[in-house]
Amino acid sequence: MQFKDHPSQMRMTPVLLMVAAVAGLQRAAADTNAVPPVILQPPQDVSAREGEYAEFTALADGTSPLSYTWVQSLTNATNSIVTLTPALQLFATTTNEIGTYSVIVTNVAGAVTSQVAALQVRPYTPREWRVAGFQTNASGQVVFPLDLAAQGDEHVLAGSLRFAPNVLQNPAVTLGTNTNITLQIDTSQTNAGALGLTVSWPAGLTATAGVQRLASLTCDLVAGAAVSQAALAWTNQPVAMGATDVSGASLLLEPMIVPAFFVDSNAPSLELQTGLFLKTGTLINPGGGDLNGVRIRVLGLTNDSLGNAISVRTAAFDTNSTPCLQYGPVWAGASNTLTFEYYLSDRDRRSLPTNTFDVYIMQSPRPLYTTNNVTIGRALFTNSVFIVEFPTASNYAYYVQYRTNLSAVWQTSLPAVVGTGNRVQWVDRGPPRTASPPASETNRFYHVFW
Amino acid sequence: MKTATCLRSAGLLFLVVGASLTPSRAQDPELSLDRNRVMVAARFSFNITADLRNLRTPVPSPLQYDDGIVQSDISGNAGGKTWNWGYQNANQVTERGSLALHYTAGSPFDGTSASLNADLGAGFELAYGRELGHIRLSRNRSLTWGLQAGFGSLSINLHNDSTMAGMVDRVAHEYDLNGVVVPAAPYAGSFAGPGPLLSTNYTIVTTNLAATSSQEVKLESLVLGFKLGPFVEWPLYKRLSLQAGAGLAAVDVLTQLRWNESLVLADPSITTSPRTGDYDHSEWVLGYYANAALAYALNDSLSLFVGAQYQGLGDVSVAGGGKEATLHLGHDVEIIAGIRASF
Repeated sequence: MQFKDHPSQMRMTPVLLMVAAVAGLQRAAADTNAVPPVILQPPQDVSAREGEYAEFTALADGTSPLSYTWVQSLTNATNSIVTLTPALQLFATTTNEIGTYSVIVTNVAGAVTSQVAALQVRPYTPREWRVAGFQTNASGQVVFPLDLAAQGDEHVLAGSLRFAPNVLQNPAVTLGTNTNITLQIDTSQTNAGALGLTVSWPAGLTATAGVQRLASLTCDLVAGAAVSQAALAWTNQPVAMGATDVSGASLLLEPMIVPAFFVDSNAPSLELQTGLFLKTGTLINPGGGDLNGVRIRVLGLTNDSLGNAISVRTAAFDTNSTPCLQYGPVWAGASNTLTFEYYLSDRDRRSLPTNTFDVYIMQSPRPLYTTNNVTIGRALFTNSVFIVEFPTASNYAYYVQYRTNLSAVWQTSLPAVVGTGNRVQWVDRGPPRTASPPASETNRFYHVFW
Repeated sequence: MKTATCLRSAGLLFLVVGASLTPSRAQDPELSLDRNRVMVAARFSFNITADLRNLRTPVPSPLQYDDGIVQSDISGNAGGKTWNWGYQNANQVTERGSLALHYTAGSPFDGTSASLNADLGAGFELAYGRELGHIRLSRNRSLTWGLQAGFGSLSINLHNDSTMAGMVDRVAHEYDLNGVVVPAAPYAGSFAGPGPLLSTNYTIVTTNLAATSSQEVKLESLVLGFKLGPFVEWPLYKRLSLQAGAGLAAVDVLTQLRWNESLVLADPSITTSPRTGDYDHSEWVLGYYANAALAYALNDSLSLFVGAQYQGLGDVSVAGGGKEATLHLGHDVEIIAGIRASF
């Protein structure tokens, strides 16, 4: 094992905390009891869109030091890539990297080769057919907006949506404001939970470039089913996915299902521990596939009564003064509660305007690796949150990483903590900072670096 | 204060020099060859004293704790809470779930008085005199009388260092944490925040403790003043003469009272912040003066003189921070020595 527990680890109930500092077990090369490497977790298949970040990881045990040699088997060639870490990072995937990958782990006692994992790279196209989240209407029906991010050359779009018939029933599709298009619905497999859609423009005409709402799919919710169970997936039955231009030539089309986000109606509450106002929302991935992550832009923020900008402390970054949360991965059908932490310098919740939220699917997050570890001064599990406390230097960026067990890969929490020159309390209450609330797990390990 | 005073002195000096009266020549050609005289003298003061009264040590405002801060934050402590607070030691978090911040009230010196010891006061004096007449004493000797005006400066430093034992109050303000997990000590929040919120309400717990206090007090004064009055001069023997004068004096007394006090409590685990004070005061005082000096003529226009001067002025008090110092200027005895030019 490559990680050693820090002696200052603390054991908490019900959640075990181990403040872990990364350190290699330095065993002598001449150790006659050297253990040959064993692969505990082989690399897994990865599917990425062209240009996205992709990563293969493997977990191995054995006498240190372990070295990793990744073998890349492409269509016409085989390359070896030597890395010092058990991770192979492909920062901007190309279709040339489609192939299989395996890793050879070696130490003084021997070597072992992992099973192969496949990398699938989907060609990039900005042409997307999106299910833009979902909402409920006054009748309690679930409404899925169907949007097209068009390039302007689309003449016909086709595809199918799969749903769970024990959750959704009686699907009906209505056109959007563009009455110029023709919509054909294939209901032959509705009872089995599949609906075919074909959208076409008049002869010789194509879609207007840009994002447009083509139609909305409305379903009844089966009695006893929860809205959070509403799930869809693009499929090829009964109508195959595809797009063509006016000449009938095929066009690349990326089917996509954007998670839905519902903000709780409760007023934001002031948390004494952090001095921030908390407001929660629910993120639901209605798609049939996992998502690397989503970004949620918080729109409509203004200044507070003191004239200072209202900020969102759980936002990973700001774009043109618009805070943007980042969370992921989002598993298929998963429902996650995300907490927005608002900073109001006047501490007056009346300064907080009604926000709107835009949800975007994002590429895979790039993990961060570092060697500048910070000693965690204290960690407490209290009131269902973990408080991780560490010293900081002014204006340095500190990253908190976490994992649920010692064999898991470290996950990086965003945003980074900006040092104040004093002791800082970082609060883990779950999404979006971490994948899940710490109270939902029996173990959570942290380390901090800069 | 000293810089401003120096500038002020220079300005006044310039005015005095610039105001040298153009003498109207006397009508008596035999006795009135020199009608104007300018004198520059050094002065050394011996008898200025000061008293110090230690009143009740006030609670500073804003309150300054020995082991932490609770200050207003950017919101103006909205909701009776602030994130602009800090503390020093882990034992300040009480079992009752509050944060105790301490200060020490009172001093063993409270209610006592002391005298301040003076160093030698030094300064200068610049004067202009106008001879107005002569009284013939004999064929070759005549008494000269006239009027003179002067400007002077005198710097006086007094001090008192002492130690005293007694009882003081150790006051704890206990702030309710409302379940907040305080960051480990030492911790300091910020004005803009955010951070853990502390209620600005507190309960008071007072303990009486023995303490030893060391106090160092300094009273620095600069006396700037004018004087105006008649003078007479008797020729004594050949080049030696006696000059005497008296008149009114008006002085601006610029005083600065500074002190620092260190408290050592009987409980060695408790450290207290040193107390300091710095107060300025300016006050005009009216009075009188009288002087006499022996002069030795170097030639027809220059003389050296040395003598004594007495000034009777009022008292000047400066107070602040629970202390009051009174500077006694009523019996100022000085030695003066300088040079006089006659023309």
